[in-house]
Amino acid sequence: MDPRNRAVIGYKIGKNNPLGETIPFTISGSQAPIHLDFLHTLDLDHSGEFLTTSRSTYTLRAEDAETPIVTYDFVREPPNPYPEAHIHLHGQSDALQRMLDSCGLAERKPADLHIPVGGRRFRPCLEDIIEFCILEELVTPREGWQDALERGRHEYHEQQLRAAVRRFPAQAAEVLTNTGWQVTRLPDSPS
Amino acid sequence: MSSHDDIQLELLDESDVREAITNALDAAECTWEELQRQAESGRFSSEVARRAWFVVSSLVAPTG
Repeated sequence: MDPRNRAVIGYKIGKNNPLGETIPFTISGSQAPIHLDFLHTLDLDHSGEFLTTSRSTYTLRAEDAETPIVTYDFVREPPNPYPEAHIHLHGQSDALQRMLDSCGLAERKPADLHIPVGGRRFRPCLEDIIEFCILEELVTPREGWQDALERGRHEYHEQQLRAAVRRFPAQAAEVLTNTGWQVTRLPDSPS
Repeated sequence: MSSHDDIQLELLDESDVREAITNALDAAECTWEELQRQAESGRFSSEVARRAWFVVSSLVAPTG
């Protein structure tokens, strides 16, 4: 965390190792079949009151902890036209490469594509990535993993919902009114 | 089942932030300007460069 209340979160990350390290997905100490590396950067939002994710990147890597398989990125207000939340699929795909070639983009790789996923408010969370690895039987989970993941995911969904309500208060009030709530906007409430 | 005991918080001053940025750029073997151009195109020269951009852009970009 820096003097401007910004933070970078990662595994074994620090000033001398700012990119962090890769996490082996294993509970037995045996060779992990898949690895995860992640970076999460936080900043204060426009109000200066709420800590918010400015960037996040998760990459699942093969057993060598190097070869990327899939990357899931979120970039708030990106410096390019691509969607804030997107996935990159690594590796070779003859069909995708033929598509790029036929579009005159032979210099690009399938992994260069930014596949949209959910947008800022409704993008997957880290728990979804971990759950994917478990449900697809890529890793062996500990007992009670469902509860642990659901707790984290529930908290994330609540935070996202609160942010959505702050962003769209009129729509939130309309939904509440239609479901029997009485909603009154105070004269000095922020628009 | 899980605890937060293994979470470590490192507080950085401005000098530390500059050092972290330098270390990230060294790992990527890129300048900040090169990383910015790569980010603008949506394509990075390497995986390390991509990760370095995530860190550096978060530390050098103006807040708000």
